[in-house]
Amino acid sequence: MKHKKINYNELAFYLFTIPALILYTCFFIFPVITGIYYSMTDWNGMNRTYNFVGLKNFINIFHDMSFKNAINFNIKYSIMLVLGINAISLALAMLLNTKIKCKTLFRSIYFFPAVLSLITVGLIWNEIYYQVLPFIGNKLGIGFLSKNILSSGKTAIYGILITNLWQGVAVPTILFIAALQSIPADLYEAATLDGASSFQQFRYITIRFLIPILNINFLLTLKSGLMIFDYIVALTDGGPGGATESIGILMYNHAFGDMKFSQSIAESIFIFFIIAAVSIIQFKVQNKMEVSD
Amino acid sequence: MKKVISFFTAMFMTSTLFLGCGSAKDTDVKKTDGKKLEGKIEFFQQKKEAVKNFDAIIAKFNEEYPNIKVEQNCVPDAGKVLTTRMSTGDIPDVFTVYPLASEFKVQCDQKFVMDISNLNGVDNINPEIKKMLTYKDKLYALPISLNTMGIFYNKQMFKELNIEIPKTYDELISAMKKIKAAGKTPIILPDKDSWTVGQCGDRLFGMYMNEEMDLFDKVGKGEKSTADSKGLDKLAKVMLELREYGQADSLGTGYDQAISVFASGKAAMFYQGTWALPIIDKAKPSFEVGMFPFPGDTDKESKIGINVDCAVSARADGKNGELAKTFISFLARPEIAQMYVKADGSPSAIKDVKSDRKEFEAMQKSIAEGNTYPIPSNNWKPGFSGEWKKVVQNLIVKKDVKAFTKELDQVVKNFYK
Repeated sequence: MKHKKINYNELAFYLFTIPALILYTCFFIFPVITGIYYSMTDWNGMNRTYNFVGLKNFINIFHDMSFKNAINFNIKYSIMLVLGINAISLALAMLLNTKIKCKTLFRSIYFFPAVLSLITVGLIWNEIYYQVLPFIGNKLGIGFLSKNILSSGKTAIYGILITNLWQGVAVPTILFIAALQSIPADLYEAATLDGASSFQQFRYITIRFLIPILNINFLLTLKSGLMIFDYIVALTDGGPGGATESIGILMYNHAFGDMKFSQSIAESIFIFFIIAAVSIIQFKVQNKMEVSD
Repeated sequence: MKKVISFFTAMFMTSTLFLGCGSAKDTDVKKTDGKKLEGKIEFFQQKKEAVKNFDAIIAKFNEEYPNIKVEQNCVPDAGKVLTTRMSTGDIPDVFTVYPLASEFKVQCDQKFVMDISNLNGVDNINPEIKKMLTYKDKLYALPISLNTMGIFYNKQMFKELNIEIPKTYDELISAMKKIKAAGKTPIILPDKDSWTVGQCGDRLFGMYMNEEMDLFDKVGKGEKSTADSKGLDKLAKVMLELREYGQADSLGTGYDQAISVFASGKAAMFYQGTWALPIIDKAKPSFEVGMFPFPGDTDKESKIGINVDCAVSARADGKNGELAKTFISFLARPEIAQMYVKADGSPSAIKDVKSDRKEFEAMQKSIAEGNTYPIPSNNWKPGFSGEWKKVVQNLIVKKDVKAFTKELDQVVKNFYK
């Protein structure tokens, strides 16, 4: 009797997972499998018929100069984004966690950019780069600032990065503040009694406790760096002359503009493997450094 | 009891997942005795600027056919949405297209689009335009309006500086020198937006490459190199020479910003398509706006490229076909075409219908005299325009004609192979 009861219970639990499982299968696993199949055809996104071409698309992407440029762009951008967001938001979180006046006001000010829609952010920063910065640059006689920084292939990447940082630090900052508040105060007390300097306290207590959050923030920013698409569309659309073309932009253009649908899927599968590899390595490394309970 | 409840809750949650998936059947055409038609059609409309215009036309349509409901649907990034809907079989009953684009020809080849060669009212189309649109001896779209690119100019500023409308390229350069000497910006160039840079390059291609329209096909086969093309060399030099008279840092100015600079009277000229007029109007310029064709080396060579701006097609498989045909032939009536161009300002594709906006007088004259050339990108391999605009924008970045032809050569060989 007892045995049967447990089964009945378990069955209900399993049934509860079914909706999520079905959704996940329909909208994630199934598209991935069909995607892998389409990446081995020559479908252009429109034709009723297509042929199986094997790995030709994968070979093609390695001969494609714009794909190489896009990979370079993505790597450079991701490194700067990960370092930038994590450093700035950690510093902000530490500042906003100290006993300063108007703490809540500052917290809401720094969180404000996160609630703006991307279209608004794009319009705001386009005008800043178009009118405000060149005006300041001209007055102060700074050469590279005296024109729109989005107009040169060398500086446009920083224009996108600054906008992304401005909006992107908000959420990681909140996460860091939450994590900082969860560190027991008596640890700092004990450290002070033992004569630890504030840098040592930061190094051996704060960072250790922040590692789970650091882990999440690192992964989230890395992912958003490698998948960067929206900020580029809002600011440069890949220009000037393809200088800020990320893989996301390239895939979108190949699929819907240039009628190379299957090649764009091959590109996305390639990126999937890169992101998966980086995530696994990152998890392995950081798990070792975490504080164990 | 609790377990029973949870069991059924889980079952219920699972089953509700599929509730949305069932599809209601549309009532198709019901032919009642007489000629009265009944039903509902979806009109997928790609032009944001034309939504109001078509609302008025649909209202007029319903006066005559009260039982046909036309639902206008205009979404962002409509071209890409339409492509996706076609490839998944969910084709709208009636939709607007850009019928000269090479991508549209693929859609016709794949039999997504209805052949309307024998439709009532196609005889109203301007014969020249109809000839342009005929693809493999069939007509797949009803053209309504045309667009063309030219140079918008500030009439007041031209008058104050005593400048005549330039008829040759040299006159254009000397006019720009005069404006520059007067301390004004001669021409505003929206080089930040690669789509419009690509369009400028495309039109200049049409002007200077008359005898080399098939250049890219030949380059793809390895028979020719873009470096040998004199027309391409000229195109690049003209593009760069215009930049000498444009605003400083042209690559930092976008399309909307350029329009606001022009409409506020800070720049004398603006090389752009007729489609920009409604937006210039919105900015309420304090001066009269005019447009003249981009001048060639001689007066005779000043030609303009004509493209179809708004055209309507229907789905091929015949669902709601009668209703779609009725609606399209209604749009082909001269009085309806008149209604459209009156609000839109662009030249009409229907015989004897004239737009009464005087901004485009000079362009209308060129069309009437037949001083036109076909748009080169319409005959390129589908999808090549995306690569082209990038290369042209890079020309403006690097300001190096040789690097431009070299890069183009590589891109073409890669794309046309």
